[in-house]
Amino acid sequence: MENIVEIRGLTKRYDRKEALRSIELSIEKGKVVGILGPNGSGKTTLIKLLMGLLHPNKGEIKIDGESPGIHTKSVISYLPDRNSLYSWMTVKDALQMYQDFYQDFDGKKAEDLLQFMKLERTMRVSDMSKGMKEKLNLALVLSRRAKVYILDEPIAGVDPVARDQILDAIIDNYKEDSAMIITTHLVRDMENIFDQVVFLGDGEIILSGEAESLREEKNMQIDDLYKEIFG
Amino acid sequence: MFKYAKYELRGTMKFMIGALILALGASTGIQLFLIRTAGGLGGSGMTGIVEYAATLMLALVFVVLGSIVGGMVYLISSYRRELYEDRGYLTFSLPLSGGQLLGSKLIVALFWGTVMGISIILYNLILAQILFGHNLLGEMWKITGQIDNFGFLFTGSIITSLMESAVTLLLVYFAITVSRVSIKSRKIGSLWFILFIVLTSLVTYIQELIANHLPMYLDLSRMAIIGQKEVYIMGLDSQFGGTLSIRGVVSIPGLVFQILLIAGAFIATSYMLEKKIDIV
Repeated sequence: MENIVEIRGLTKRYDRKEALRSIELSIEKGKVVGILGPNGSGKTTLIKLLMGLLHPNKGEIKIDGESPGIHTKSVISYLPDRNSLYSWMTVKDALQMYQDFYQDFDGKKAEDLLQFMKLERTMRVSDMSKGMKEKLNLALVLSRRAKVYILDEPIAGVDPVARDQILDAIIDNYKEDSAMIITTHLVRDMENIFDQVVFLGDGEIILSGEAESLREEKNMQIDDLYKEIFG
Repeated sequence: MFKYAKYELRGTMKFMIGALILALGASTGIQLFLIRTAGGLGGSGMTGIVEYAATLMLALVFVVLGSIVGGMVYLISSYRRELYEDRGYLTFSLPLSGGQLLGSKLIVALFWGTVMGISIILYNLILAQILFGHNLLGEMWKITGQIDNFGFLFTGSIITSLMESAVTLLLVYFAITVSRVSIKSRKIGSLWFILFIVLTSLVTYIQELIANHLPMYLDLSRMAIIGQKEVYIMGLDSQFGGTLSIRGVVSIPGLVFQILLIAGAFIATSYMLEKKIDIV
């Protein structure tokens, strides 16, 4: 399979603090990649650089053969680690916005996902709980037929019922011809969906590889490996 | 670009309509108060009419300016929120160029400024006509019929006003963006206002230099190019400071400078939005 994401020598500094140091990473189409690390390890910085929300100090990123910009934003479906939908919006407005901006948006699929998430079209974003906002954002993101899905902490801070719904939605809507990048520190809940894992600590890749190979090689679950590395 | 402008328009609609209703309500109150005052002061004689008209105009200017300034402050803060708040995660992950984003913000701000200005003026003229029983609109229409090349004069005045508004807005957006790129802290980022004042002063100074050294003007009422002497005769020579147009006379080098300024500020701000802003 060809690489859809290529990262070479990526470095990002905030003032004097180095958030990421010389990151090298390739992601193939069809893979679900877990970026694992504790808070402050650089996961969200990496995701934001891929999205073009941050600009690197050094290094290069190629997504679908291009540097982050208008094209890459049109092929990536991104779930940020916070609600970013405008507070004046209703669910209907949010659906319309995705329809307007993304050619790959599947309205029928969005309706199905909203039904699955038990969200009404008339609900206002400003009236929703954190879990409901998370589910709405995820429904929008998974309703696209994107080349790359980037989910930043999709299950952090939501109740166990919403967590299960989110995980089911991710598993059911994963597409074989796309790549999915998921950051999390809640490894136990998500480790079964990863094909590849990248352990990120203090801005550097500590360990990476195929999830199954690492389990066999280290003779432990990914969650236990995470605890061993960061514990 | 218009796709995003649609959402910017919807997002700002509630506040702007509210500001407009407030301004129209205040105008109604002022007019009702003034018609009583005018009646008490001078009855229905000419003194009453003159006093009424003078006070009304002054009050209207305050109402119009107050509501437009309030609205503009809201629209400017809407731009600032994109750079400092969580909504920026959505806006900056949309497949839009910096120019498309900035253009949308600018068009919507100019649209609201125009809608507010026209609505407030027309509403007050119609209300004054109803309350005062004087055919103000008819009189104005008659006066415009007596002005040579009124069409050019009107269109030219609208265009120069829009250009001056665009320059002010772009300088604001530029100052906010430079502050965001150079200073990460939101509190210190408020220094954009000082940068804006400095930039505005600089632009006014350059505009004045241009007007003094290159005295070439376009008289919209005659559609003729005129020089220093004719402007002096018209009594406008000392008034061309930082202003682009006075009473239908436009400074041509000033116009060129404003066009270059709009293009420069737009390109520089768009570039920073696309290549330099970090959404942290």
